[in-house]
Amino acid sequence: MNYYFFLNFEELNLDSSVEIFNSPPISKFYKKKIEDKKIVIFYSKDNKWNYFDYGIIKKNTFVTIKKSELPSQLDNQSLFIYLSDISSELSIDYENDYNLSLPEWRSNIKIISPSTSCSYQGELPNHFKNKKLSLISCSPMVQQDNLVENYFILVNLSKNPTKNPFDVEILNSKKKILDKTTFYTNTINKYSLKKLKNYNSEMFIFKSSERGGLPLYFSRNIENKSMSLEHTHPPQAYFIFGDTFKYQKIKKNYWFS
Amino acid sequence: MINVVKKIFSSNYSRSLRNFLQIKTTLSNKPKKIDSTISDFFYWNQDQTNSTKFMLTNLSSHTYPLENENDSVRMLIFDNNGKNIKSLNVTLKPFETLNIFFSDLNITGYGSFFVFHKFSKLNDIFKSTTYLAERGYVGYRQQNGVWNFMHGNKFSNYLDFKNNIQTIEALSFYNIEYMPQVSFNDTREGFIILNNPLKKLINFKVKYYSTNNNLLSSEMVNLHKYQTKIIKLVNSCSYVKVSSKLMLSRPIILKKYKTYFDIFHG
Repeated sequence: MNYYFFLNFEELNLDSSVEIFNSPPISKFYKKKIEDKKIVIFYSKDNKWNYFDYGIIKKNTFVTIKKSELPSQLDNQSLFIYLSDISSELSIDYENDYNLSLPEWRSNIKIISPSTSCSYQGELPNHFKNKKLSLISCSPMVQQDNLVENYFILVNLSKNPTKNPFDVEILNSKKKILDKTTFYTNTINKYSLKKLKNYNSEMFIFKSSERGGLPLYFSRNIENKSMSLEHTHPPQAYFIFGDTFKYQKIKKNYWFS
Repeated sequence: MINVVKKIFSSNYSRSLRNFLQIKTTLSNKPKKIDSTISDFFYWNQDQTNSTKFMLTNLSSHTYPLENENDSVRMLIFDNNGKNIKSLNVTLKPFETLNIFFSDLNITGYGSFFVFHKFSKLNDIFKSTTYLAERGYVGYRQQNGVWNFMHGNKFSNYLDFKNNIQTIEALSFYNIEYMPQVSFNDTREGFIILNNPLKKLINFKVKYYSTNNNLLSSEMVNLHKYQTKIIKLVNSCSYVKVSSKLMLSRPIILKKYKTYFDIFHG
């Protein structure tokens, strides 16, 4: 199963949306049956999963869900989405492989200002939820212009519904620790890079040995008239064929030593 | 015995057969030369309004950080007609990241480019039949807006140590249709960008659909070797499907808004 999520920036007067297609990117490769599905929005609160039944998405259609149009009970929550069988119970542990495909079945995850938008095609694979991951994200995408604000976003979804804190360090390429912050599990975590304005570095490294997730970088000019959103690759994504995880291990050993 | 079966199953002949029979389909072939590095076929656009930069980083430092090696990089830039208009050789120091501004290269227009890396520890990677790939980050900008970043779209081509460029994109015997899972309902102008990483012609078919799944129109887009085309979507187009003999006809998506634009791989 792949999950999708909203990127919340209400404090910056920005909306967000998730656009879900109920059909795979390449139908010819897809062996399962396309059918009507239930869109389930869920979030962690008071140490348990809370669910909201958004409604049905018909087969071979798409739905654009804007965060601002959701009921107020969902305000200020880190919201995740999955596609469920219509008759199934609402449950994060409900396993299905419906939206697993070659290539990946993605959704358009977008941040919206009154005059522009930025987005990427994303998904949160199920194994992110089930494994205890660590984090190494090396980003050259930070923009040091005075009129630009940069944010590091870490999307974490874990099997356990409690929101547990974990530490994240921000380093430069010489492994010097520039700052530290605390993130939480089951949360769309955000960190403003304002504090790093004085560090003239082409590369920042976000690191956590405790937890991982999906690392994203968001930049905006202060009037929200131009914006950028992209994720960094996991270390093994720079390789193809053979033992790609060998090189992930070498990289992680270096940054965690 | 298991290794021999594995080797046969993962060979390019076997990959073609798997794709023909649609059993364990694959989007990429293996390079024919073991001593090869791989690159995406990145898009660039440089003129009075648009700027492009590439974040060129030492991939040896990402792979073998303790080695403190230089990384010799070759960038090959093609215009929209597929003509090689610029070749750059850049040596990166350990952990160095350079901004390659296309405004400094004395070229205008748009097109696509490859970025191939070479460093001595690559030999260790080759021994494990793994290939290093440049999948990095391109920044696009209009006027003084923020750099809008997009990473590589797919594993595309390789450069062997004799400097020959070949593709690893898998081909199909019949057309394969790809649908970017995104709508264009929120934009005043929508575009898709296609490029051709092959040395031969590719015939893409682009179909335009309304929100109600009605086919509005379709068109053929023919791209010669290394060509790039920006295709403006027809009015009322809600989403598109792109097909060709490439196993993955994934376009780049470009949307224009009131004050800026969005760009991402489809």
